[in-house]
Amino acid sequence: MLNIALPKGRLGKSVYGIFKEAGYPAAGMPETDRRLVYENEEAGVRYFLVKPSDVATYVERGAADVGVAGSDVLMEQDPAVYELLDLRTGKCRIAVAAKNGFVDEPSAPLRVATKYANIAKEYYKKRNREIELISLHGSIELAPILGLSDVIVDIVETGNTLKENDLSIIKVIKEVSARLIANKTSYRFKQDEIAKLVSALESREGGAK
Amino acid sequence: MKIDLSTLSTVERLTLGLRGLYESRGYRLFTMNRLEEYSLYVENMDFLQSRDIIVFSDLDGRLMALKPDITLSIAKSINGDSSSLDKLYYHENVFRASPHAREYREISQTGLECIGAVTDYDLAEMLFLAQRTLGAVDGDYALDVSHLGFVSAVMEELGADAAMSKKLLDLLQKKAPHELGRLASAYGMSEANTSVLMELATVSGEFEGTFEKAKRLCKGERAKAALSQLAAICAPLAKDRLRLDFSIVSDMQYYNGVVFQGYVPKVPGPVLFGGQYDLLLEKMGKEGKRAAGFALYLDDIERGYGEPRKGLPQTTVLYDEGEAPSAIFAVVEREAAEGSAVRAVTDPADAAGKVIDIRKAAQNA
Repeated sequence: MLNIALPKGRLGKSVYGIFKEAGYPAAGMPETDRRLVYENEEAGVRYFLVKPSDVATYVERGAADVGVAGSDVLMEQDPAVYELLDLRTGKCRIAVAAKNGFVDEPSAPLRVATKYANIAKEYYKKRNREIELISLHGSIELAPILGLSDVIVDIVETGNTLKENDLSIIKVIKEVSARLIANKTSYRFKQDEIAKLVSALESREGGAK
Repeated sequence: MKIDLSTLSTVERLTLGLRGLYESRGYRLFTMNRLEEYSLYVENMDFLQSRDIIVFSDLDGRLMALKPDITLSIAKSINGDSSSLDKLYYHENVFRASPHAREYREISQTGLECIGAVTDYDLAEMLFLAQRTLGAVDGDYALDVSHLGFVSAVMEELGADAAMSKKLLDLLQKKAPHELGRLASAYGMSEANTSVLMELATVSGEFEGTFEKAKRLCKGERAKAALSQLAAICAPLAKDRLRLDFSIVSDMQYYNGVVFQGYVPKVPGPVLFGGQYDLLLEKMGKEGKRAAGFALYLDDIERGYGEPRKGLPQTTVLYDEGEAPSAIFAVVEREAAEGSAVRAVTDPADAAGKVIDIRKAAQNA
């Protein structure tokens, strides 16, 4: 039985659609009730629905054999897992954004609001730019509007939220998409099951790479 | 004194068994204290898993560290000429930052180091001992081997320079063929070479079948020679739990030949790390020497395989506060001789197991 951690919510529904199409459905999915575990004994899979930012932890620590996490989460957490496939869904960008007309003043540390502290630190370290990190957990776009920060480092999907709040992208740091990840021990002891899943996901039409 | 093995923890029983195994192959116990001069780590920072080290000033002003690593200290202490061979094993604690908890942890390791005139036989013996070590933890283990000489030769064949190789190797460790493909394309690598690179990330499995796939990935003499050496070293080993996997990429400033990692089903990551590190000795000015070693992470084993200690049956002797010690002593001695863990207490609330009440009130009742 392969234990699979999927992110709850919109990304999870899209990812589950891909797994179902690849031959791994489970009764009750996607989330028709309040259950957190869904099983298909015949297909040999058990799905866990967890918070998107927790998927990598479940997989790294072996509670799940494989899982699906955004590449933004993987960049931020750098978990000790294998990244086997790009599922080419949940596409967006992680970017630096600021109020329209913002000009960086290098004589003072740049105030950066983000929930991606490691990505932001690494990005500005490479540019030798001193920053003051402001850790937030939501509504990041509000920070530059209220003067809490100069810029934000956040996920941008369509850019509409930025546009509606008089903000714009200064720099795209990295393109983001959902990735199939695997626990290192499971990769060895459940290699055939994982290889079969990877192959099924790869071979579906317009599939993962 | 008779030792009751059932009172030992899983790890204590394991390390006792491993001592016998290592000594049977001529390895000698090496003990050391927990402190090391910090300068050793400054000079070899990339050899360490983390740059977080507990540092303090000693009374003479020297900057000291609580050891985050054993191999560096052993390699530093070996002074013999290149024709000698030092075979050492250890059971020590190291101090490292936990990436999850963001705090320092004391981690228990047992391992081997073989330094000096190391031959392919010594490397084969080391892999054999790694297999036996993992087998002592769980019969259903996996030992993955790779050869950094092969991986670096393939990178060279594909035209990757040092900076490019470093990025490609990072992705190889993650087994991320899609990212390798993207990076190779960004570097202008040909389609054929990109495909070799992506295959290198996915080549993983039982040794013999995977070895044939690996042979098809290289053309050059250097890569072929590395594979031949790996085949020769692995020839005497049991193949049923031996795997070939090129995602094991240790730092190539220090490691140069065979590298390996061990897995057991109940621990969610590698529990045994090892490899050949001739370049570390070269960096320490001990040229002409070869070296290899491995370490088993015992804390992870305890978490995955630890069982509650069976312990001895408990007996409580209840006595009055004014009772003569010799009277209590006699009862405790008698019960301990019969194989119990005996506690003598005055408060009945502290009693557990079989209770022997020698209080006056109980005697008079």
